[in-house]
Amino acid sequence: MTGGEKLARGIIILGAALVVSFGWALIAGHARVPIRGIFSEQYAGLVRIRAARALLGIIVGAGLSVSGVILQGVLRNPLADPYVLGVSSGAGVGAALAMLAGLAALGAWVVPGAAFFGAVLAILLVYLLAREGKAVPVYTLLLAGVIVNSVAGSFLIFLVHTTIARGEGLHSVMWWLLGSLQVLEPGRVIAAGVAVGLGVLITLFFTRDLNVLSIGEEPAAHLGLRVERTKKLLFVVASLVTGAAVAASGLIGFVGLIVPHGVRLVVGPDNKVLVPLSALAGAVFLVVADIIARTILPAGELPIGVITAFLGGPFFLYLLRRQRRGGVQ
Amino acid sequence: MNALEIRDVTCGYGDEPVIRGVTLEVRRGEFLGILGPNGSGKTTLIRAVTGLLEPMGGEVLIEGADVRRLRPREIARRVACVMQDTAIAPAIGNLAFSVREIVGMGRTPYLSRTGWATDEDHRAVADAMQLAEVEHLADRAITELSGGERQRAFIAMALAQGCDTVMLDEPTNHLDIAHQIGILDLFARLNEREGTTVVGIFHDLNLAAEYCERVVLLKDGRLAKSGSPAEVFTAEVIRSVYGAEVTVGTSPSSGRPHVFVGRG
Repeated sequence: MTGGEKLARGIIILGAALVVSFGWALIAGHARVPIRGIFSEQYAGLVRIRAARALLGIIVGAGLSVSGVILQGVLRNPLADPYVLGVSSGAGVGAALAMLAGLAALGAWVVPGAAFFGAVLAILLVYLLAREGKAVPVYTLLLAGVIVNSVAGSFLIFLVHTTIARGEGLHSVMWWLLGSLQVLEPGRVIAAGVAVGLGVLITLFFTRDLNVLSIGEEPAAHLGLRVERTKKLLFVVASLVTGAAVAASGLIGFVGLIVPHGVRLVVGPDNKVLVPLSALAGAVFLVVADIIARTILPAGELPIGVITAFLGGPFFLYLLRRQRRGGVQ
Repeated sequence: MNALEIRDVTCGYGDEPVIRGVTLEVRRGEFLGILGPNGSGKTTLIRAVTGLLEPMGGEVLIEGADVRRLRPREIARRVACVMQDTAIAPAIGNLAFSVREIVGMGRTPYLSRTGWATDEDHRAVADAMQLAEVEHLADRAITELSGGERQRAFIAMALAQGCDTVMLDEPTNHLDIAHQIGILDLFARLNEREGTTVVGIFHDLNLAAEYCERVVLLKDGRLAKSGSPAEVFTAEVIRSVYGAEVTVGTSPSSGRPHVFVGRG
């Protein structure tokens, strides 16, 4: 099967899955909406809330997945992911600082913008900490990510507690650390949609570059790639997308790891196929994860990050083991 | 017109020049060897030619065109490189690119950002795999191959670039003698039949003597000696450039010079 056929088949299957999961998201919940009730006046309010929530799931799922594909490709590290590397925490610090400074009122783009800067700083910090000469060794990168993640995470909790102590906390610690697709500010969903849409679109133009980077930076340069420029641009795109996702939904972990590797298992490593299908699969994954989070408890809901971490943590360990057994570093 | 003209090039990393004032012309269809002690600037010279490093002084012309005026893609259509050990991104299990996909990457300088490969690209990839004798490995994952097979796959990738000039950076390093000969025979055939210009960095004096029409020796970033293997590989020149005592004889099969190591 050629790349084009794989892509076409994947889009049909995942597109159908997205439609089904979106429909399921509208009817599932502690208050069930009958299928016929989706378009009726009676359930309109509930359906609207759930639709907005599923839409946010699509945006965040697609964004975090594509961000994972970018980081894995540019860092040449299969275990890279915005959450694992502390990029999400960095974005969280940026967003929280903007909220704390009272800048959120200035416009829907301010908090995502601040999150973007936090994400850029975190990526730069991890990259510079982990780089040894021209290489970024797999385990050094993970270690740098763990450290940046825990420092940024602690700072984030400090900021959130400060706002709560002042009685003006916009979100709870739980919201920040485990994420939620509950739509609190519609403006931020729109901002996230625009940023993720733009980020995914740009990435689609760089799939060949991501492929070529996998054989190393110097060989890629010999094939005519402007390596430094491409890397910078893709880091910016990953930060933009992660920042927008975090500003709208907090820190939802492991999506950028589970989804791209799941898709790779089926379609292989070609980024021309991987990027669009990971965006779609990520959207489906997060919509379904949110349905589980909303319905698994007899009452109330579980933070969505619990579901993704519960699936993602063991998957990460499985990948780590396969990586070691493969003996490739 | 020469394939390459390197005019008084000074080049290095940061402010530190590694090669200083090197001038070298490579004729079309020539098989040229570049040799010299470790750190003498051989790889830096390749990077200056392919535009990866910008010279601090002097200029490089590829087929008459100034490298500084060519876009990276245009350089990659004129000069292909085979590195000594191309790293592969660590893959999970066997989810790595296949040999066919890796060879296909050689078409990058011809492809648009969004388009798929054309029939012409597929033909170039098939031809390159045949030349490098990796057709039977086409669908294997690159990470599953032995060192020699992997190097052949990357050679096929470089051939798929369809360049008139190929630069080799010790492509047979770490390989056993059969693979070394096999790979150099391949470039010798390419050089004879297609007229491809081959510029190779060699570590092994005897392999260079056997395959190259002309060899140049670099020492401390400067051109120390240039000429036919018979002119360059003499005991005096080797002593002055490498600081090693050797005796030079003649290969009984090819009549070319052969360097014998004497114990110190």
